[in-house]
Amino acid sequence: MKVAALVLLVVVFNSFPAQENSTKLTDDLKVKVGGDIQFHARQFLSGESTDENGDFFLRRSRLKLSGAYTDYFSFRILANFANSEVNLQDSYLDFKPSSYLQFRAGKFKSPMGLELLQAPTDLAFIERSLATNLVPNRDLGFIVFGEIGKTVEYQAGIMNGVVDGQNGEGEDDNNKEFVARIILSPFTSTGIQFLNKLHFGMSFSGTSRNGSEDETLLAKYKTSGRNTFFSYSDGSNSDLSGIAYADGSKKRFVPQFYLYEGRLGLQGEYAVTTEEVSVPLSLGGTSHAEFANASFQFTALFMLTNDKPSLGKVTPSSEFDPHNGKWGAVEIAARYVTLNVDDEIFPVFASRKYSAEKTKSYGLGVNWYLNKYFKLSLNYEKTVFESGFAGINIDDEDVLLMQTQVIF
Amino acid sequence: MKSKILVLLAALSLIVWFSACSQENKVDHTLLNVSYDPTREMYQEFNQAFIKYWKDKTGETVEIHQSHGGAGKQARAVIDGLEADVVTLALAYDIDAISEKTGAMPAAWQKRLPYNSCPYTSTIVFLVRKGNPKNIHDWDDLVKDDIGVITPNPKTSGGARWNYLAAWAYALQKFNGDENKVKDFMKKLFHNVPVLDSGARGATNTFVQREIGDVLLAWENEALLAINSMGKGEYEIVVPSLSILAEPPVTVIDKYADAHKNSEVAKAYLEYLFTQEGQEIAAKHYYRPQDKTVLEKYKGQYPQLELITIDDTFGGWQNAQKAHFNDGGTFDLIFENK
Repeated sequence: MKVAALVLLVVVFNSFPAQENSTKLTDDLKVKVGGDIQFHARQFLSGESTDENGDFFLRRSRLKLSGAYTDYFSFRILANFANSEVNLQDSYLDFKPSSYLQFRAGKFKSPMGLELLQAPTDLAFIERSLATNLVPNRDLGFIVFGEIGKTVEYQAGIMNGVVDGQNGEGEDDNNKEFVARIILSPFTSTGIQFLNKLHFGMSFSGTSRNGSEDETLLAKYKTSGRNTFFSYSDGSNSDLSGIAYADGSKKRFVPQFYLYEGRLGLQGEYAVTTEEVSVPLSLGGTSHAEFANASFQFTALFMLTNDKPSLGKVTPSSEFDPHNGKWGAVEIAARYVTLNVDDEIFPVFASRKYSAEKTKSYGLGVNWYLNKYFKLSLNYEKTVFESGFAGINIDDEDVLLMQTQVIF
Repeated sequence: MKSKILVLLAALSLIVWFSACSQENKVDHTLLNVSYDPTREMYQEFNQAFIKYWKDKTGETVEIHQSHGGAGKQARAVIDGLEADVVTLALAYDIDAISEKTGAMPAAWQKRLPYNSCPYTSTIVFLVRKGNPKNIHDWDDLVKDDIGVITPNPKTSGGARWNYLAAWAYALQKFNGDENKVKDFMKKLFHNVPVLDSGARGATNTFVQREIGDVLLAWENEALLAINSMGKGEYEIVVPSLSILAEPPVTVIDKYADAHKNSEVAKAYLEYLFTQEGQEIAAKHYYRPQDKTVLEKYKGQYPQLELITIDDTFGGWQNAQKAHFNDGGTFDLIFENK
């Protein structure tokens, strides 16, 4: 039913004559239909896939409807149809009285992780890095945001609160989460070569989480190959401790930076999440503690052709047209990521047999932008689990990922 | 004009008064002592004694801040950048880790003060409820059905690691060194743990205030404190047939003490622990003083029992940590062996 309604909506809007990608419904209301498709193929060179998707799968198949009424009001709806399911990703309204004071309400990405805030179609790598495991994805709430001059961007608001790396579908406890992010670019107007493109900032969130054995509100961490390499105790690995659950304060800090200059792009972030967790013990009591898990990611990319990489969309200077000797834009990328789980989690709150304490990944990638709509990507990523426990049941992961992508 | 002069005089008076106050409250040194859970009360009293001693000796005013928590957590905090001038932790391994990971003081830090830098010792005993209703007398009784044992998490608490090793040493003796039987014994013991706190003080509160469990494995000083202060007549100490000599060491964190210009006062602070007055304060808080005269004076408060040492039974802290508490150690194995 939901699928039919969304398809109908898109058909109705597409039936209006297009004018520069947008359609005027009334004198002032403009709407635009768009979307993207990402088809993935992957080959594990070592390690195995535990992901139910298989080796060929549709990672995203999304339709987007956005619109604006005057300069002050806009909205966006984004739904993903991949895997024959409908998943409403974005649905929000913006009120923009000025550039420095704007308001957003609905479901949208929580302003926290740098890489996670990038559109998946704009990423240098096919899958986001391990650091994304520690930041929230989409959530429901309300934020104020804006730009102050050319040097400050900010977002701050109240959200429902969501498990790290996951989308929020509604209220899962009664506690709200405060989120804030500030990005500074103090050298913008200085004319200092290279530094004038440097942006750096910090995100913060704070809340209290009341999970339970039925709804733990705790994250599982996944690799680029979508394999789970860390999860809190689910009670199956020990007859001394049961199912761990979030139980108390939760805070995140994410310092971050990016710099895109000429044909070079650099970006990085350090995500730290601290949370209080409880686990039932065999005699009916509990153990309770606070843990800090941290991840660092650094990505460098370089355009082999005379094009400019971007945190957002890349538009090649020449589009693929082999008859006229034009091949589009080609970009190479490398990244290094670490994720360290608090070692005091083990063995009471998680099992070393099934979870890694220290994880590192090394990635290499090539992106071929055939034109502004089509992109082909090839990535190799090696993920190494360092636990020091001979009994660990996780092999290192070597995975080759391929992606074809279209944006419209 | 007259009113302006009055205002000016009032302002001058205030300035003089504020400057007098600030002179009076001037602090020459601020020390941070990062310690483990049960030492709160002892260092509160010791700090006052040292502040007076240092003022009399040098004329300088010292302010001392205390931080307490599970020893493992506290050591981690210093490794992560908590600028402690001195650490007074539950076991040498945690201070070794600070030295190794930060280089903030020499690896041979333990040689800088007498008695391997341990101004006092303690041991592990059992605290049971009045009348010992579950008839608990030795380690064997802790693995029986229907016994609730309160001990903190050895991953976060130094005291818990002493508890663990004391139990292990008993089982090792009982089963003539058969490690599999020892592991079974330890697994049964942890099966009887209803609450696993992150520090020794939390475990004491669980047992005393929340009234959970039948027996608390406790530092001797913590057990005596519970009996004499927290619930007089409500608890009894049970002395097991064998326990472990716990040696909590102290040291200056040179890197931070130097940076804070506190090297001299930090060194004097720790040396004062070994003086007659420092030893008396430790004894009053039920730690076993190293000074033989003071020990003799307070010997009536310490139960007599057989004490094994970490060096003799486990080959030192580095070996004990590796075998029992590091990745894949016996604590991991007994918890994950389903």
